[in-house]
Amino acid sequence: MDFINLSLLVLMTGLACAAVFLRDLVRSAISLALMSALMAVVLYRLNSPYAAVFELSVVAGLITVLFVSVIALTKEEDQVREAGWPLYVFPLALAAFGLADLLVMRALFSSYQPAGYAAVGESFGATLWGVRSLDILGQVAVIFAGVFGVLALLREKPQTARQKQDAEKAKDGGEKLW
Amino acid sequence: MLLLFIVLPLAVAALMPLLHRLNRWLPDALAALTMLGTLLLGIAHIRLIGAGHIYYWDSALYGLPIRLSLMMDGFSLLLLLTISMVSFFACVFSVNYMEHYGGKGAYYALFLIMVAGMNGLVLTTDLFSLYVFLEVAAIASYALVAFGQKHDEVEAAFKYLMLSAVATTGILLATALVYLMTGTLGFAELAAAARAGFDPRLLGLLLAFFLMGFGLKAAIVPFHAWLPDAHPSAPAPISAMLSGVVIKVSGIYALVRVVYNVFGLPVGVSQALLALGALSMVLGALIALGQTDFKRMLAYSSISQVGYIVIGLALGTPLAIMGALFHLFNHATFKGLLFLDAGATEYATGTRELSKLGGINNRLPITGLTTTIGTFSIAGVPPFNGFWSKLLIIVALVQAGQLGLAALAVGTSVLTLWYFLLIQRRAFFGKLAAGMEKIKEVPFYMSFATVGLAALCLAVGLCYPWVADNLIQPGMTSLTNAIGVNGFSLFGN
Repeated sequence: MDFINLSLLVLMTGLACAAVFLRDLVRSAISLALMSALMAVVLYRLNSPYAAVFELSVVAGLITVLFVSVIALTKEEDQVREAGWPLYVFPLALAAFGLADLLVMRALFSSYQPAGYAAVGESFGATLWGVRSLDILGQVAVIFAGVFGVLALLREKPQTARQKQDAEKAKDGGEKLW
Repeated sequence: MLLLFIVLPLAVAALMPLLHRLNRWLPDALAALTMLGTLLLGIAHIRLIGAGHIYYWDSALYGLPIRLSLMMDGFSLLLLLTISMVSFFACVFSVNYMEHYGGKGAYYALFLIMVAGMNGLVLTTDLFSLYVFLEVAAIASYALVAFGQKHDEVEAAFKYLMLSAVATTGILLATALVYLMTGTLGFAELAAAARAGFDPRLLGLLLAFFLMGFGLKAAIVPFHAWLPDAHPSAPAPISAMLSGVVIKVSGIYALVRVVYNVFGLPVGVSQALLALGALSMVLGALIALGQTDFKRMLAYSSISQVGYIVIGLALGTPLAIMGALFHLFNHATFKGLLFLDAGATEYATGTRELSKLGGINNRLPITGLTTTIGTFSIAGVPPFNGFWSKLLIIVALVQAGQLGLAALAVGTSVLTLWYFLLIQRRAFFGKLAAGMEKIKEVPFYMSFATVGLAALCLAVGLCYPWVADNLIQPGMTSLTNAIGVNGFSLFGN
């Protein structure tokens, strides 16, 4: 692995950690977008230009816009304060994992020759549609699941007598989140 | 035809919001009919699969410009029938039960997408597609767990999502390693590459990732932390689906398909699964014993029962595989039934805390009777279906010289009977609890679903030879062929 790729991976890890730990949601979303942009660079450098384009346009672009829009619609007081201890424990765990990962992967792959990949089509489009069609069907299902999931979780429930009765009975953790 | 198992639920799911606007009963009817349709489609394949056929469906045969390739053998068919059967009864139960939740259009859409995901997972011939459909089923199920919108439901769904993300990361990493080593992702090509030999260190690493990933999905101890929160928090029909089929398809089926059909059940994996299966079986039962929440007790019980299935599959003898597959099918019926009964009890009484219930059997005679049938089935009391599958697993353990494990399996079965009798005694029998005077039996469709599953528990137990020969044995043969063990016939053909 060359120095540039290694530096990019270290930066990506740092930005991913920042996305998790930053208390300000806008900064967190921007960290995630930057991490994704770096991921696109790594993918491009590893000779996967189409994956890089998708990563850049969908994750770094579209999803960041969605995140920032939702955050803009969220009231400040709705943000939940989180425990502080992971901030101290996580770096140690990450360092231990990184060390173990480095040692194991170097031992396993330093002299490993990857298998020759099967011919998968003439172009990216031919491969995607001609070879991985079932995955596209799965991808359609994932998008449906996402859309219906949002519709289901953000729906307004009709206030029935039964529901009011349930709400009275549910004293332990029964309050609505939304 | 095989594509219908995926496309039909997906197409109906896409139409759900529109159907809900046209008529409020249309989503109920169409979802149940779709599940009945896939069930009948599965039943139509029983005879030929039983005769040893394997169905292949390839889009190239129809001159389509896309490439879709699906396969159904005895193991796939058993899972497809299990999914369709539990889904049908869960849909029927939802007609009344989901009424007060609202948002039925989105509910059924997510339900059908979850089913389409599981059907796709069971029919695919490719490791990466298996991962994709695993995610389809998972994403729909996260939303369904949180469907009630209450704080504890959303928290359980988030925990389920986070631990599932760890699982799928492991599975994706292992898939990437397999692709790195072989340059292919098809099960048949991978099996050929595995026969040619893998670097043993890399093989160990990727099997560990698969075991962790699918083990988390199947909630095998020590990867079970998400299940006792997620399964009780979901609406009852979804709990029945999650415990009855989702953990089996996303965890057990996927693990077995990879470990048996690609790697031929390596000795190390077999031993690891035996140990984890035994741990799940015993710990799940012991923790279930201490629960006071009806659904939470059922959730821990699922961990214990999955332990039986894992032990049978890990042992790898024809009889053990047969017992494990039969128990997989049976657990889907009686655990689906018991979760629906827990939902019916909560619907009628407003609580699932066993300490607040008591003596409700006279007020809820149908729910009481079907819960008793579910209890006898899961505890392995003859002639109910659970008896046969547990017997097969225990006999297989004795035959294989695993007397300690056989004793553990018998002991756990006694424990299971104990904690289910506790439910019966606390909730259904004894003195009527305060505030339960005015409760009445649940509406028709809920009772129809529980009676249907209870009848199935009894019918499968009584018609055991037919079920074993026509449903279980073809599944067993698929797996014994994959690991090169000679199969057998219990009752002849």
